[in-house]
Order: sequence, then C-alpha cells, then structure tokens
Amino acid sequence: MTDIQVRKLTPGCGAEVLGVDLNQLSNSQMETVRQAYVDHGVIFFRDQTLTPEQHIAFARRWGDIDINKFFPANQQYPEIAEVRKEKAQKTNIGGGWHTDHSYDQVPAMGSILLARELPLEGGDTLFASMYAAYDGLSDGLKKTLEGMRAIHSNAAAFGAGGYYKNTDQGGGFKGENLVGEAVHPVIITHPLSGRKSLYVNPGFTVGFEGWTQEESQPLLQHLFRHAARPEFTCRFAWRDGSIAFWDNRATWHYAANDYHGERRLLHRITIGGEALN
Amino acid sequence: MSQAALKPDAIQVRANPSGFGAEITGLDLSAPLPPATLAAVKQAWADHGVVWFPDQPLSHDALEAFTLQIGPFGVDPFIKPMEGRPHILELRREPNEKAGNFGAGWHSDWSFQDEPPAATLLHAKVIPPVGGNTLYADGTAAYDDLSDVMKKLLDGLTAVHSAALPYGTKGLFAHEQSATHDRTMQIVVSEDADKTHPHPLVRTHPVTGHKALYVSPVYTLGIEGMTQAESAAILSFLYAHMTKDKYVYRHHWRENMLTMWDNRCALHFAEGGYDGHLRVLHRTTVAGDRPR
Repeated sequence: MTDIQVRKLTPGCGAEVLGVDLNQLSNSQMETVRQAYVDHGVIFFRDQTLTPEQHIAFARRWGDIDINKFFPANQQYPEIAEVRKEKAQKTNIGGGWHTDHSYDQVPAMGSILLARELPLEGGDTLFASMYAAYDGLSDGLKKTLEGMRAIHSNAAAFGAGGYYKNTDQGGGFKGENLVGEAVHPVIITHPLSGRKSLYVNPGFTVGFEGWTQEESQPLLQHLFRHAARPEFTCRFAWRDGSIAFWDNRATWHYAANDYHGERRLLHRITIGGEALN
Repeated sequence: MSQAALKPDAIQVRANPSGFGAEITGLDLSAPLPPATLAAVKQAWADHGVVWFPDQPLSHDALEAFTLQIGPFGVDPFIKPMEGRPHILELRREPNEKAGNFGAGWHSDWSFQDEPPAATLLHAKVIPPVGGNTLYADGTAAYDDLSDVMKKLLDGLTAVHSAALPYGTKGLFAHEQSATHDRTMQIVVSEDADKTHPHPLVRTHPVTGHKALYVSPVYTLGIEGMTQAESAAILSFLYAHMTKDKYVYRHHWRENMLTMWDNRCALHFAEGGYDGHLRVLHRTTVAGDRPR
C-alpha cells in the first residue's frame, strides 16, 4: 500500500489526496484526509471505485446527509442528487460561480461529487478559495467588511420565475415554492479551520443587509471580481473514478459548460453544516 | 414668514425648492454689512450651501473687504494670483484659448489642505453668452439619503486627498504645460501637490452639525487602508450618487454676480461650452477648519 499524499493543485486553491482507497480508509488516513479538507477547502481523489452505497457510507463519516430541496434525486438513493446533462440539453447545473446552499440559514458544509459518466473532453469544475480571496483584501477593506452582513436568496436560481425553470433543465428541478433567503456575515470565521473566509457569492448573494440594491452592487461586484482572480482558483479535470469534495464555507465552484452533445452524470451527496458567524 | 416682511430693510433670501442654493438680494456688498445683515447672510450660506448676490459691482478692495467679513483669507496654492492682489485669483479664459476650462471636474476647493477653505467667493466680471455654468452638488442631502447601515460604515472611513491629479509633477497641468502653452491662468506645478492628506470621508459641518460626504474625483485618491480597486468600488458609487440630478443645482452667471459656496458640504464643477468667448471671474477663499 502506497503512502497517502496531499499535493496542492495550485498555490491558491485545492489539493489532491493521492494513494488512498476511500473504501479502505484507515483511521490515520481519515485524519490526513480530514486535515487536507480543512487546510485546502477542496480536495480531490482519483481512481476511486465507490458504489452508491459506499459513496453514502463515506459521506456519513463526515456528518448528516443534507437532501437538496431543488435537485433531482437518484430514484433508488434519495441521499444522492444527480448532476446531469443529457446530450440534447444546453444548460448545465452550476454553470456560474456560486457556493451551494448559502441561501440556507444553516448552510451545508460541503458536497462529495463523484463522476459516473463523463464527456470525452470538457466538463471541468473550477474552484476558488475564499480564504485566498479574504487574505487578498486590503487591511482597510477587511476591517470595513467585518460586521457587515449579506443577504443570500435562491429565488433567482430556483424560484418559479427563476433561472433553471426557464431552461432545458427546468423539468428536473423541484421545490420552486421552497425558495427563501438567509443572512450571513460577509466575513465568516470558518468553523473547522478558524480562518477568516469571504462568504459572498455571485450565485446567491443579492445585497448587503440594510443597504439598497444600488448601494450594494458596486462593492459586491468588486468582491465578486476580486474573489474570482485566477490566483485564487484551480481547475479540476474529471476522469473516471474522480471525486471532488469541497467545503462551501471556504470555496466557490463553477461547472464549465463546454461539452454540448455529450452526456455527463455525477452523483452528489451533500453534508449538513452549521450556522456561520 | 420672511425677514423682509418684518423689517423693510432686511435682506431677501430666495432658496431653490430643494433648499440647496439661494439668491440673496436687498443688500449692498460694496460697503461693510451691518452685524445683523452679516449674520443673516452667514445663516443663509450655512442653510443653503450656495448663495449668490446678483448685481453687485465690486472693486478688488470691496471683494477683499466682503471676503474678510465672512472670515480670514484662505491659502491659495498652485495658481499665480493677480498682480498686487495676493488673495485674488483671476479665472480668465480668452476667446481663442484651447486649454480645457478651469475646474472642469467635481471637487471641493483645496480639500487636500490640512484646513481647507470654508468658503469660496467668485465674482463675475465677463460672462460669455453661452455655456460656463457652474454645477453644485449637495453633499449633505446625498449623505442623508444613504441607508443607515451604509452611513455608519462610511462614518468610520478616512479618505486620502491630494492635489496630485491636477497639480502634481505627473498631473494634468504638468502634462498640459509640456504639450501646449495657451492657458492664460498661470498654474504652478509643484512637488507639494504630490503630498497626501487624510480627512474623514463623512464630514460634520462645524456650524450646522449636519454630516456631508466629503470626497471628490479630482482630489480624493482613495480610502485609507484600501487598494485602488477597492476604493474605486466605493468612491465611484458615491460620486455617481452625489452628482445625481436631484442633488445638483445648475448655476447661471450674470455679470456683477457674486457667488459664495460652502466647500464643507458641496462639490462644484465648472462647465465649458463657451469657446470663442471671453470669461473672467475673480476668486477669493475664506479659511476653514480641519475637517472632523
């Protein structure tokens, strides 16, 4: 058995955890994996052979499974959400920078996404580190953002008049009456790492609490541009057996939509989190 | 009830509907004002930010004397004053002048100074038949209309001011002097202009106690502690906000009109549009206190 290795993908974001079989994880290996997850915000595994049951079992080692209100679930395993794009579909899921579930007052910790069917090329997932984004702010803006809170809403994405309902992914989504919003600090202290992290995202953050839209947008758009700087990101190319496991409190992600005419199916299990402050 | 109705000899103050900007008549500025009249003028200036007195022919002596009734002269750097009149600047643009008109950017006079001028007085000598309006923006109303949470955040910020963009060694006028020589006004580019000076982004008026936005695209370089891009995200919003139509008063000049504005709560902008015509105004400033 080879030794477990943690190798950064880029200096700013993400690490591959190599030399490990998630079906036979020793306690010390689990500890290494846990530390890599805490340190890097998103970790990647290669050449794994998890069945759906094993996928669920691995997820349960991290916490309670959070069943998504909006995503189509796997028929046999309700814990598993299907991130699917058929050959004829043009819209993909997650094709813009976002953080999952930030519209919940108790947002999910993260998701374990496993490749089931991949296009020949394309369909990469990009991640951006919100630790790096926070660290890259000036001291003045860090101080200014402390104490500010932002409003997150899923209406524009999942609501009845929202983005997905009006695309060719519309049929698969559900729960358009479950839309809602939440308020979180703009700068959070990460519950696992204790590090400061920038917690706004273009997918769901609609403004600052107490500010008008007009007041909010210039600073919010600046933060979005800043956080998406290439230095803070990494790009993961999927292969059969690949797994990405990200922390929503430490990263954004973006699903590249560059494989029209091919089918892509990934299985996602989301793990519950805690209130942020 | 106007004061005029109570006292026939009292001044008349006709404010714009917004309350920002007022015309003052019923007085003669060429002679010292009685204490009550002077107090009423100062009150109107504090209340309305910009006041103007039409039909006031004034000699240089009279302009200086009225300025001193408002307060001691300010310090006017970078522009050569009139010969023998160290406190009067002549804002002059010849009919054939091609250089951009002076003051064509939103600013508060000399806001890069430790104690920027409280008032600027501008007396119209020759006014072109077209163009040459001055726009004033109400920094008090613009601040008042912001959300409370944003106000609170802005209250704690410090803006960095400098004369560098127009008057610095790498500034607009330095560049212009190497390119063209047709500006009538003599601008003294100086290393002094490259210095920076911090002021609160929101300033409390020493007389009215009202808070006002105290930043401008001409003299504010950024927000203390923030990068250029971060500062720009906040400042560009504030500039767009405070120069909205509803906060702007467009001032039309007439010869012999004296206008006095409050740099502590108003920005101004000199419009062009009078190429081919002579325009001459004489300017003084009144010293102010350190913004807080």
